[in-house]
Amino acid sequence: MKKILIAIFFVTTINLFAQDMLSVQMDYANNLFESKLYFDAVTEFKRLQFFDSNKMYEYDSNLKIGVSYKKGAKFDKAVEHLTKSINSARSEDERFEAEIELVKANILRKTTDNALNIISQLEGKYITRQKRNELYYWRGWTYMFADNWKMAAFEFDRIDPNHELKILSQNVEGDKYSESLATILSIFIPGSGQIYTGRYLSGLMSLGWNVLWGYTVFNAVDAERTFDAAIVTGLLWERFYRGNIQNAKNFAKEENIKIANKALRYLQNDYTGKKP
Amino acid sequence: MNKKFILNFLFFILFISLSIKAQDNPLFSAKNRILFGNSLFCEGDYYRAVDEYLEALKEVNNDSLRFKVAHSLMKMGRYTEAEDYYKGLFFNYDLEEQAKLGFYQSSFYRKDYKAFRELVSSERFMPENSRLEVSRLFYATQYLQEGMLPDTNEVKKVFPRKYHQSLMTLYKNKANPDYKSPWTAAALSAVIPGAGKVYTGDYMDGFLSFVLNGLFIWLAYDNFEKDHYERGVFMSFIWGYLYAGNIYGSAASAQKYNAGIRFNFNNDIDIFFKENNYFIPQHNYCNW
Repeated sequence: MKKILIAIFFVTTINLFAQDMLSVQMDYANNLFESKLYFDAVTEFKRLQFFDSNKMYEYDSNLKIGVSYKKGAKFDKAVEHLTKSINSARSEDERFEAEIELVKANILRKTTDNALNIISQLEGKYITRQKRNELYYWRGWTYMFADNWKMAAFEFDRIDPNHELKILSQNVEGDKYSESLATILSIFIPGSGQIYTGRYLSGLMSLGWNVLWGYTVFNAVDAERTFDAAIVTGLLWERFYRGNIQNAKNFAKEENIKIANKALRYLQNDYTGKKP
Repeated sequence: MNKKFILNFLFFILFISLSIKAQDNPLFSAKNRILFGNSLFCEGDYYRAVDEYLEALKEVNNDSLRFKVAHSLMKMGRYTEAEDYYKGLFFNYDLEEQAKLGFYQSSFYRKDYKAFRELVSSERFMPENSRLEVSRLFYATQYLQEGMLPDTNEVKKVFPRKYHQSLMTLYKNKANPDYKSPWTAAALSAVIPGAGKVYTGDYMDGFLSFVLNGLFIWLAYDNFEKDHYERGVFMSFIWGYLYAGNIYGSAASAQKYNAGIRFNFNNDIDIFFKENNYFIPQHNYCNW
């Protein structure tokens, strides 16, 4: 009996010792992670992985390493470790959690197609309302980062018709200028496309230049100076007219970027919900 | 089996568990740090590997670790620190040769080619068995530094035969770059507007310049001929502006062309040497 007890003692002690040092290491790494010391957290999770010969912490460490790399904007590394954590998940919930983190990394990496593909695959697997809503939510974020606010609003609407991000996306979509409209306006009335995008001075100047060269051309035609009319048309009026159309389109683009950036800044700094 | 023994046994286990909890985590022992550092080193995570090695070096005296620190620092681009670590190993009989070569490599990567050549010429800390590798680095600096040309006979002596043709082509391109003279371009455009641009390969711009200059000369002439004096002066001004721009533009076009040639050539040299690891045998020191 004594011999058995002593054997139990040794086996237990050795196991306890190994297990204990790994769990202590896990706690330590987690503390660093919670304290947002991501570089150190990665080191300690890697150390945990190195000594974890039974791969008990394979999932947790890879997940946290992936998230830490994501926080440090090392997206390729993040994707590498998150993929490992998906492969070592012990349950469906763990797998789902890691896959969502992978989607988030892809959103930030702006690999929109990857994010959308993963979400579509997950949609086929998970049918509960809660998980579906989470998938709609991250698909909405994917679209917001891809500057597709209309589709983003659609996705958030599937969660809740009054969803804060649906309203935001709709507002952004509503505030944006139509590049086609700006172009068409400037084709018919030079400068009007610029005025439509709020660039009043540029619009008026464009109108002025086009009126001036147009008047010069018509004047020359009227006085039967056909060659002068052709030269002014070819070298001046045509350039100002074409420039006016191009300008209107560019201004619409610039304004749209500003509007989208303002919304993204709000999401980054003031939005309190879940973020990638 | 008496109760007293079992009770003592249980207390003993409790004591051991608490002791383990209280003591330092053995994962941070010097030995384990080295093992973990090696794993990081082999996967190319040099930043973290250096941290582990430096912590381990507080407890153990191990020159192999110092060598790996130096190698990691060099890989991280911290060349001056790497040189310092390599220097510390010059008196280790086993590592001296590798350390000296590493020192020369770090000095080369710092891109202060003049200082590197002075170092080579002085033969200070020269790795005796790697003289050939150092010579290759020496001649590589002459390719890489602007305004320098290597001695082709020496180049042939130190570089492997199969690279001689590539090295000679690079030499020829460096010795006689296909530059266009900005002065020639300007002079050509002064005589025939647009000709300077054609000379620099800007055919469409040259043609347009020729047409526009011709057009405005004709307009100015025609207006003067028909006594439209003001319009003639106006057209002359536009022509003068275009003519001056054509000359200046041709000179600028030649400079742009030359900058492109220089950029491509420097790029080619850089890629050639990098692809061949500067003709130094590659070691990852993973199994050290």
